[in-house]
Amino acid sequence: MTPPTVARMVRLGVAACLLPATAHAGALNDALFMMSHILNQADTVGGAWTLAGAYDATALVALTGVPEEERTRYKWVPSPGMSKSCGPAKRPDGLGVFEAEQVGNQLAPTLGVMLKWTGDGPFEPLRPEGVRVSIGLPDDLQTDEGLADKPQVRLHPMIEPRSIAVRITGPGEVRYKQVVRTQLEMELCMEHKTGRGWNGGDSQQLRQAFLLDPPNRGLADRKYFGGQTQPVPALLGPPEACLFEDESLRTATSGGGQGEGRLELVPTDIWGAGLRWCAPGISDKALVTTGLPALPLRLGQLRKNQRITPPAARHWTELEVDVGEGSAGDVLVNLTYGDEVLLGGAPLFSDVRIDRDTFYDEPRGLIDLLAAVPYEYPSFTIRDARGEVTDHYTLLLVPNWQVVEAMRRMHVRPACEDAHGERKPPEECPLPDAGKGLQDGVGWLLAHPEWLFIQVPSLGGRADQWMSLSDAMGGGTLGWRNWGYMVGMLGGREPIGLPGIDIPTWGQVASAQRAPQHSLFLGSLAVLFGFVWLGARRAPDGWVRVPEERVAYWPGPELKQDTGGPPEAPEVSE
Amino acid sequence: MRRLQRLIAQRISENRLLVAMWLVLLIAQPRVPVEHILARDDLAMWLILTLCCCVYLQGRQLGPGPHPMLTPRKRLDGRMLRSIARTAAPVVLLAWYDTGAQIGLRMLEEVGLSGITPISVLGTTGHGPAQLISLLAASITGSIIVGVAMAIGGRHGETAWSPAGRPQGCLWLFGAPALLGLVIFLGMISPLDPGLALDLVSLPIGRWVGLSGLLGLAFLTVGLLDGRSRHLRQRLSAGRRDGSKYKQDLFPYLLAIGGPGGGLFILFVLYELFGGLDFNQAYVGALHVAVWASVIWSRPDPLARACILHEVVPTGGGDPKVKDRALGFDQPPEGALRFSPLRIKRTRVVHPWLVPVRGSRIADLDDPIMPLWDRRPPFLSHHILGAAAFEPDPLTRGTQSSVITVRIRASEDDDTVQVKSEGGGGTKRLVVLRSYPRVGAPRRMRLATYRWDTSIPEESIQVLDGRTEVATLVDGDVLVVSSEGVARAYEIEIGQPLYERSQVEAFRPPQLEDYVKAG
Repeated sequence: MTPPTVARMVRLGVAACLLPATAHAGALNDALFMMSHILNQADTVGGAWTLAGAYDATALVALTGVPEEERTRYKWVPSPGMSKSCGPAKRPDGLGVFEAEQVGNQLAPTLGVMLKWTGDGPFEPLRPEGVRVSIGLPDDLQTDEGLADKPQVRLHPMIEPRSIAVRITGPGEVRYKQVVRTQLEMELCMEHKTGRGWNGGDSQQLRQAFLLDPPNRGLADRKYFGGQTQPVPALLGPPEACLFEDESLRTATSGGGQGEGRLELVPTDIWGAGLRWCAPGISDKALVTTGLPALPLRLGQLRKNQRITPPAARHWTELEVDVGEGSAGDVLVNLTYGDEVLLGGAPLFSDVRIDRDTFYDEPRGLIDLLAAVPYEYPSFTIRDARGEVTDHYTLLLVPNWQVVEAMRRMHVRPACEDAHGERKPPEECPLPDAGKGLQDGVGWLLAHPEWLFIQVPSLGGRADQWMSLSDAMGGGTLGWRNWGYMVGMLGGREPIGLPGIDIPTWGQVASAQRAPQHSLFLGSLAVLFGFVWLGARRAPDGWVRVPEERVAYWPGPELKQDTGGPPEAPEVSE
Repeated sequence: MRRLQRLIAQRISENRLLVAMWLVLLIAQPRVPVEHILARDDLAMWLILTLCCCVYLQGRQLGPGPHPMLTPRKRLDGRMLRSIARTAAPVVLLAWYDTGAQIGLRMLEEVGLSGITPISVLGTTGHGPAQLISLLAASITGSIIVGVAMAIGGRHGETAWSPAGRPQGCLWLFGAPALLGLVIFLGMISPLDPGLALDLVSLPIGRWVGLSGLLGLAFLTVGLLDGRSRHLRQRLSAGRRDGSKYKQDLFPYLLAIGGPGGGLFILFVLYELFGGLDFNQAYVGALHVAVWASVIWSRPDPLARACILHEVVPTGGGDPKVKDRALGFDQPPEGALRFSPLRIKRTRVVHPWLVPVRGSRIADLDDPIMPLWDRRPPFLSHHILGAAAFEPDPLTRGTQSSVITVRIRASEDDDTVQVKSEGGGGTKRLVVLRSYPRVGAPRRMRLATYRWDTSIPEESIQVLDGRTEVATLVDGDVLVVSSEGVARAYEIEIGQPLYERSQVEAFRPPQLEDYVKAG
């Protein structure tokens, strides 16, 4: 082989090495695939979590091919102990079923959001204060200054049920312990009756939740349990609670007359509610023996060398309220949940109510203790063949009604000013048209992902700085990130979580991650580029003049005169 | 820049099948289930699948082949069997590689180092004695199938002369076990992670080395499968033209091993910066294999291309008949035929034409093997028009076979069409009409022959007159020859490339009587 040939092959070889590398790093890939893969991945990383999937969980369950009548049904079985002490579980008004039943039995669309843990430190289950799922106005619909690209209505994904064993201790006066007990009993019983988690709220919301005040005039009454108008998280299974017996407290309530006669929630549901005494064997970390089934969730598809860690058995967690000495505003309280100190020396009666996210200036009143007790979202732990933990995922399930409600709320705009600078009432302000007549809110949201905000705290940034993981799902220049994978190619093979006892099939995963659309897009793009490339090269032929040669005589039959119409072929002897 | 553009366009055009294959794999990649055997995170299966596709499309033997004066035997069944064996060989190597990985794991377990094994290596195959036995069985079975297919199809490509020397069986007897042993060794070191063992940064160096070596050996194996010791013996026996001893050029073999393998290792290292190379980036690995396949198995330059001159007749363009009064010389003539290359119809009269491809290299210098007998004189490279050939691209200086260059004055023999106007008043006109200029060709406008004609691009019409030295012809050009007002036209079709001298020598050169009597 001659030196020039060797040099040519060496040059080609170097190019062969560098071409694939540059394909991902920049030039070629950018031209062919608009760099979406790596850009999307970069955009989905915020803080310690990565967006691994966003899909309609209910629609995907239907893809299993199992007829609807043969699918496994999930039935909400409330805790017998809670039913005895708090009265019957009644389901949220307006739905008729518990939300876990609604999601588990595919009665309505459900927004599923898979988050993957990418943090360096030890994994901790995701809690509501660690993630925000909201709906807000995208840039292009912005009309008021400051509202663009910001979440406006927060959604509350479904949470794991809690089994709380309340212990009220301390040297404080009995009357203050009784106040604490009453508050906890009412709120824990409300969780049992509605199947939703207690979220706290301002004074108006609390009064409406306790059925002290009627719903807001002009707004739909949905008995949201965080007030009449605020969405709250739904429980994935029936909650459980009990109270450690204390001589200083009154005896446990019998549960009689706590709204048994009515299907909907009535004041006697709340005011007659109470907790039973905890059984003797119950202690912190003790297993819940009542076997209350939560909505099963399954993760798939995993690689062959991956195993999912079975979910931990449900156990009791002790909530200890230590009421200190003093009277009125001087009473301090310590709140401990398991090993976690939630409140240390906080005044039992405070001017400032502490919420998870905000502080409200309130008249002096009893602080909301249960609102400080954390929830957790369902999570999955993946291990490799050697048993070492490799990945953690968290599944956020948002029922359809929350999305629909949020989209309708987007119509209610703040007051605005007209052209002359005069303020106009909200109903006269321009409204976005999204959400009008909306039924399948989840489908609409997945088709318009620029309205969805999934935010996690930023790592290394300010405490109030939240990064949006959902940017990868939509937006971008010309909206080109809407194609193919919802959350970018690098997330396209991540597993998804679905409600039900069946492990998600590859067909479901591929549909959730839009693999068919991704393939179709790539194929169409290749064909399009081919046509554009060829067309661009031959485009000047469109206006070039075709040469002609004049000849005086042509052997053969006489040609017809050119009349400007299509030419006619002469008869040719062959 | 134009040179670079032309080069890229040429390379893509030459390897369009590989480009299409890569696109198909790219489109299929998202549809591969996570648990599928193709979706191994170490990319071994996807790389080998890509290589198999490349081999099927473009793979062939490495090295110079038999003595150039010998004609290989051709058998359809043999060609198919050898193609199957060639395509399946990389898969068999992968099976041996996985077998080696299983053996390596067991050895590591015996010395208590199994904890450092990156389990993802065995993500698909699993780990245990049962897997080892099944892999071993699959490897042996695959090897036998490939060997049998090669043996049955052995008549294909066989040449007549078999000088004395080491027989083919010796190579198979020692070469194949050595090759498989090397692959098994690469598999055995693949579970090693020296960084982890030394409590350093954990990098799967063993896997990178193993896979890179496997890919290089797979390229080499495919290139060697079709090779024959007889070919080497022929060349050794013949010697070189200058009487010196023939030396085997090892560069193609070293490039086949080191190029793809080394490149893949560099790719692994580069991608470690992005978080590692796994199945999400499988298209990058596939591109790597496809590009290296185009380098190692680049298409050879053809010796010639078979062309056809179709006699065509016009299908329109007749001007209105002459009126009863004469027009001035500044007016377009009436009653003539405006012949357009788009308004033609082929007759069944064709004239075969073989146009040689002039390479940028001189073959006799690149492969100066001693001829076995006196060569036949080379076929006439000139056409009745003149010396016609596919000359090297002036821009890239590389071989091209799409534009025929006709040097009118290159041949002075009597057979050449005399386009010069001779004395006596006879008019002879030879014009090449090109419907649309070539892509990238300059589109300067030029005035046509007559003042009433509108301007057209320079390339659209070539008038071959006494001053013309060079004309170019491309596929679809129409040659109009008119003499004394009577014209004939020929459409040029550039056909299949010919790679073997026997095909070229069997071709009938064009004869004068094949062409226009009008000329």
